[in-house]
Amino acid sequence: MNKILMNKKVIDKDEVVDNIDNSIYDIKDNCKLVINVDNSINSSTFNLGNNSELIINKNYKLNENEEEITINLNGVNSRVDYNFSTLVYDNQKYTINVNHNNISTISNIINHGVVMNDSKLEFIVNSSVLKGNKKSVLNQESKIIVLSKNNSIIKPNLFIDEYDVDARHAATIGRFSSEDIFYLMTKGINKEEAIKLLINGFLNIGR
Amino acid sequence: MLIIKNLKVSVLDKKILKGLNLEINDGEIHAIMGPNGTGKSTLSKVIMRDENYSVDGIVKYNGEDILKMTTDEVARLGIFLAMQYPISIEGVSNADMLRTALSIREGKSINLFKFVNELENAYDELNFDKNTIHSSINEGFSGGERKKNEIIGMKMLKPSLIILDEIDSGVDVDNLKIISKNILKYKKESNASLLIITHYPHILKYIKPDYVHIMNNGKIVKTGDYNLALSILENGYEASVVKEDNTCE
Ligand SMILES: Nc1ncnc2c1ncn2[C@@H]1O[C@H](COP(=O)(O)OP(=O)(O)OP(=O)(O)O)[C@@H](O)[C@H]1O
Ligand SMILES: [Mg+2]
Repeated sequence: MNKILMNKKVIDKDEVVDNIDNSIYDIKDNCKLVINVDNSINSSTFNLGNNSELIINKNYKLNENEEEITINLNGVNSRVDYNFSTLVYDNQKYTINVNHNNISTISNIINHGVVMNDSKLEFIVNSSVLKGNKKSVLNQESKIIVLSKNNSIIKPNLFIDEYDVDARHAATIGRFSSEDIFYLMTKGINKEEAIKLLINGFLNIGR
Repeated sequence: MLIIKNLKVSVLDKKILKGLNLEINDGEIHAIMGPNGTGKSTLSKVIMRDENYSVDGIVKYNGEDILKMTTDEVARLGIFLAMQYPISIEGVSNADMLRTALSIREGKSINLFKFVNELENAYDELNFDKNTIHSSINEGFSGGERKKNEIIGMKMLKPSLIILDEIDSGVDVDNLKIISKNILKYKKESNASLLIITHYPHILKYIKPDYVHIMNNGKIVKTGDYNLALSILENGYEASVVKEDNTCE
């Protein structure tokens, strides 16, 4: 396979960015990186030092897209908060790997997607905790709402080899409830606008 | 004016309303009381065109055939339902919902400044925490708070017929006073009609009904005034219906 040149960036002070042009980010001890993007960040790897923090907020409305992101929580107390929402008209696939490589590491991974037609949306979340990395906290929440025929899938994977962790995951694929739509319509909102409100609301959760 | 004639409603094979008749003239206050499961909430939702129900009969509001309309069209005719169990919707705020509803009704974007002002006023008048204006609808609200929130919706949407499905249940005495005061004030300003579904005469003490109906087994079986509500409180449904029937003979 043709590997593109891996350029690496070192984060040694707190930073907020709104686009990503490197493939590897090393976040040094006690530093914080915040990424707010609405364009594909392709494939990236993040390595976190002790007490460091990574916040990724992604709100997409893209054509066909595929991404794989790897987050290595290498330092004690390192933490990632990943809030992703996507409005989908074309096939999309998102893989996220979170490796808890030290004690007291925290990951909070939230994926929300609304699929407007019969395209396929895939959320693949792989979280791992190796033996000995006690007191780690893992949270995965992946939700997809489909408006048409469902072809989407969620693969929530937890690979945990340590007892002393707090892990939870939720994965659902569903539709907006008819009660929600009825409630909004009783206020005089037509069905189309009611669904628009629900879509925006769903994609906004976690922002 | 609301006219309901020989309304029959069923879900799947279950018959719920079995030939119900009711007329509400502009400005009138009607109360409906009746045992659990008798079809009171069903009636309110059928008027709002809940698609879960199969419907036969006549329901007209100001001459318009409601049974041919969609829920949002009925609402825009001026009918407002405060549901017995208001749901919560994650991610959609009260402000978003009401602003959208008003914009659709006016056919254009509304003046945001005026809107927020009016909404904040409504919150104040209901003694309700204004910080929840922009949080998810009813999310984390108690049963009583959800009821108050419905009245905020009523004040903003300015209906001409208000259906209150057990607005009083789960509401403490002080809040029931606040809710009643707001409804009465709005009624005075607008001459709206009211249909109050309740199990208790308490709310009717504040909002005096012109008519009290007893509904049983999918029909209105008796109509009277406020005293009928008191008699129900004292004697229960069976006795209230039967006793009066005897005196008529
Ligand atoms: N959507 C529905 N699907 C199935 N059954 C229904 C539905 N709606 C109402 N019913 C049934 O119809 C009957 C009347 O219900 P409804 O909620 O209208 O009663 P109610 O008079 O409002 O009672 P309560 O005083 O307890 O609120 C009940 O037996 C109920 O189970
Ligand atoms: Mg009811």
